[in-house]
Amino acid sequence: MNEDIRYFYMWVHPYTQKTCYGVTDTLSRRKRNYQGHNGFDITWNFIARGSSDDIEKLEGTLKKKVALVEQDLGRKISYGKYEWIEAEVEYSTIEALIDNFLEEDNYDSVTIIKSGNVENNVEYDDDEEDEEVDNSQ
Amino acid sequence: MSSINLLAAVQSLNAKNMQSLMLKTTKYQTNTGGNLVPIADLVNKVVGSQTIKDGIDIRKAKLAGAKYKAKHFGRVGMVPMGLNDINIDIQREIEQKHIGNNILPIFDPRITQPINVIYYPETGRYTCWDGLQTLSTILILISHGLIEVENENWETFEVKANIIDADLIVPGASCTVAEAVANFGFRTLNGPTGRKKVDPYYVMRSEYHGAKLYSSDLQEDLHSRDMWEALLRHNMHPADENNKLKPGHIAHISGMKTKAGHDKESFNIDTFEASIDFLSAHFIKDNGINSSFYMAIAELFKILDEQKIKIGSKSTQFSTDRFAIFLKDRYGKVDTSHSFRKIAAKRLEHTRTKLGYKTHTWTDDCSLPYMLDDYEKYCDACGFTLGKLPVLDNMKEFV
Repeated sequence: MNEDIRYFYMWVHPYTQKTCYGVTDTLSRRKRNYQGHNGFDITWNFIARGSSDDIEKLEGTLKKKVALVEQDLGRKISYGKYEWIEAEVEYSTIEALIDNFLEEDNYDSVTIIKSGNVENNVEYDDDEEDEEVDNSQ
Repeated sequence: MSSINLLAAVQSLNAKNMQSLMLKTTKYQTNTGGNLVPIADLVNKVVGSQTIKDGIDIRKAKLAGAKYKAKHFGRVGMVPMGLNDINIDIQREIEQKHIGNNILPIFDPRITQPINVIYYPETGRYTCWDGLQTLSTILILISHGLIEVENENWETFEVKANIIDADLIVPGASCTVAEAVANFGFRTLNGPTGRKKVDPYYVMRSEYHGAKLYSSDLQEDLHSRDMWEALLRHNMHPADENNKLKPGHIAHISGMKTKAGHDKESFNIDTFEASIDFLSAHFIKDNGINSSFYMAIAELFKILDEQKIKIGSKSTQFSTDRFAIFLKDRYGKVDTSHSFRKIAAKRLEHTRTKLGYKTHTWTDDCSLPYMLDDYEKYCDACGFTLGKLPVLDNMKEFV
């Protein structure tokens, strides 16, 4: 694993419809953690890969913009101080906003791996699901 | 449940911010609809103030019932270069470096000031008591063939002048005539009670407007524009002396320029903006940002960048969130009576006294070493992971 590579991901909670986002260097481990906590399978809706600087900047920009929108609206649209955006925010518009960030700022190292219904033919570590333990007898 | 379009919401916010930025940059666009305001409108705002009345009272007493007339103001005219003498007991010497480094590179004939002269009718000559550098620059330009002169005779080339006749007497004056006026005039225009030195804020604003509104391609203007807009992007503002106590304002203009590498090849807007982003995120509610505190933070971000230490709110190398919490815990607010400066000054005095120093002149150099030393102790005491701190060349000098 290249330690400078990071992933920015988003997934929509199938029951609450809230959008979760975050940054990780290992998608498979992060997915297992979510699944372990929730007790159901999750699917990434959006994945972008790039340098740690760019990916952290991308996450920070989203967080900052969400906070500014909250300030403007005078109410919360995120859950607590966590990286969760409330269900009333339409997921496709979050993805559109991320696209907008990538287009309008300098994110040279960032590649979108999965977005909307399109999955680019780029390998990422989420494919490495070989660490699961089979306890069946 | 209503559905929020986040992209549209952010774009709408950006548009509002842009509008607000436009309003801020054209602060003097009044209800008249432009940035050109009749002089009377501006004067009417101050004419009745106590400060003005106090000054008027002093002048009235000096005039003792007399009034100035138009002729008392002298006249303006064109004076042949060759008829000028310099009273070397009044004027400075020719400022060779100033002319070479500052005047000639940006020389523009439209922006030359009229020289100030006394006219002696008996000789037909003038003594120039203010404008030596202007006269010298013009003559240097002529000598190098950069000004077209009729018959190649520099002496006949005329320059604009504010002319006072040597025998002109005015009411209420502290000096009499001729060279006495010149002597007093030189001091009045150039001394501390004459022209008020322009606050660096106004210079930076002029540079910013140069690039923003008037398409200037001067490097100093482009750099100031980038810095000014970076500040506004984070709801921060450059400030003059009168506004330095307002939230989100930084009055240390020269410090900001120095740290950003303004008008130099080393100009680094990203590092500058990172430091502003940090100050905005954590200290925007304080009453202005203290100059010493600003210098320490700007230096820190510069060194973090130079030493390629990754910063971020949750960075494992240098967590800005944790550092901000430490700063608030340790030093409190960062306004102009900010305790950081007081604490650091006290520590500097204590350390220097122990080393046998008799004076303890403040130096900004001690700020960052003390700040990082305090941070290390703070993390240690709280059991926090320190992450990666930059190496400072002058750490051992102070800690």
